[in-house]
Amino acid sequence: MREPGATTGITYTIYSGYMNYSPLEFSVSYNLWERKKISLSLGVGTGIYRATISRHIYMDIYTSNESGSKRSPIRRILESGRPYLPALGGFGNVSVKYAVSSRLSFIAEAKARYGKISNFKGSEFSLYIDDNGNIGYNEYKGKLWFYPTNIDYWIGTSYSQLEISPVKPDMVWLSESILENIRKANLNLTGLSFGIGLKIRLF
Amino acid sequence: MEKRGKHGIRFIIFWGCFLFLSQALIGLRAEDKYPRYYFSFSYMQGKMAVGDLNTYLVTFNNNDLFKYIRENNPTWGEVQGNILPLSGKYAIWDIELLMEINPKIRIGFSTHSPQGKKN
Repeated sequence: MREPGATTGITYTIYSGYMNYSPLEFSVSYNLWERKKISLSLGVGTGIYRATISRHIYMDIYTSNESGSKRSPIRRILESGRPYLPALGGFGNVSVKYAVSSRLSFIAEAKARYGKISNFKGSEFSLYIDDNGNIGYNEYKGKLWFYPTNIDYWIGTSYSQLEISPVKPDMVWLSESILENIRKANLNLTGLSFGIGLKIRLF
Repeated sequence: MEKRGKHGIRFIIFWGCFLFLSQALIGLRAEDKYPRYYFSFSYMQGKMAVGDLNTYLVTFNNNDLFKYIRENNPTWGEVQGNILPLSGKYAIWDIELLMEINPKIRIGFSTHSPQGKKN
């Protein structure tokens, strides 16, 4: 029962993150042009990539009155997933080499990579307090899915959603067009990078 | 700060020794023979797309309810701040072992340091 003069509210706090682990990449390069100490080469390659992604959602209910304020968690969700299969990606690069000696060179490189990790498998851990004030928790395991279109969900508003589910979500309240577009969530590694470094002849 | 300085000195000593030892192998080489083997390390900066996680964060931040509350400032609710998408920018150390098969073609195996973002 609400106390006289008390105000209540719900706060949502979201933390999220991703981590790309060290990949294993294989490349083939062709020496396109060479003049004295400078050379230019082009390369293509493929790699095996792994990553984890996580999302923490904190929903707290607070009550405040003349005697102060009180916060209590009503639901806390921790979702984390890692791929059950590593993903394959591809890349191309251009590099310029300047030979300081027969053993040592400086290199400058530009690299374009294409890759998506989409086989995320993980768990959702959620804490809740029921109407009687009892604390409980649920744990779900499954694959990570993404609804690429806006839907009415959870707080009654529309946004794209990530969800852990053992099978492809098939909620009856979703329209046909949304159901058709539900797919596995992915982490998109596609991008460009530039770098400088040293190249040493071993033997 | 002092800790970072120590790490920097260790880094320079390690790679200094490595360069010295690799240069010491000069005497063992056969200059014109193939395949030749190389080791390279480089510092790289780049940006990746990230994808669905950011789509979720951006659409959640801009959802209809939050938009309404921000614009109308009703007494029954308020939205403080914004949920920011995760940056795709990264900086990594890349290492590679290369085998030069002939003057034109080489193959390489490489990896790089892990990278991630959280907010």
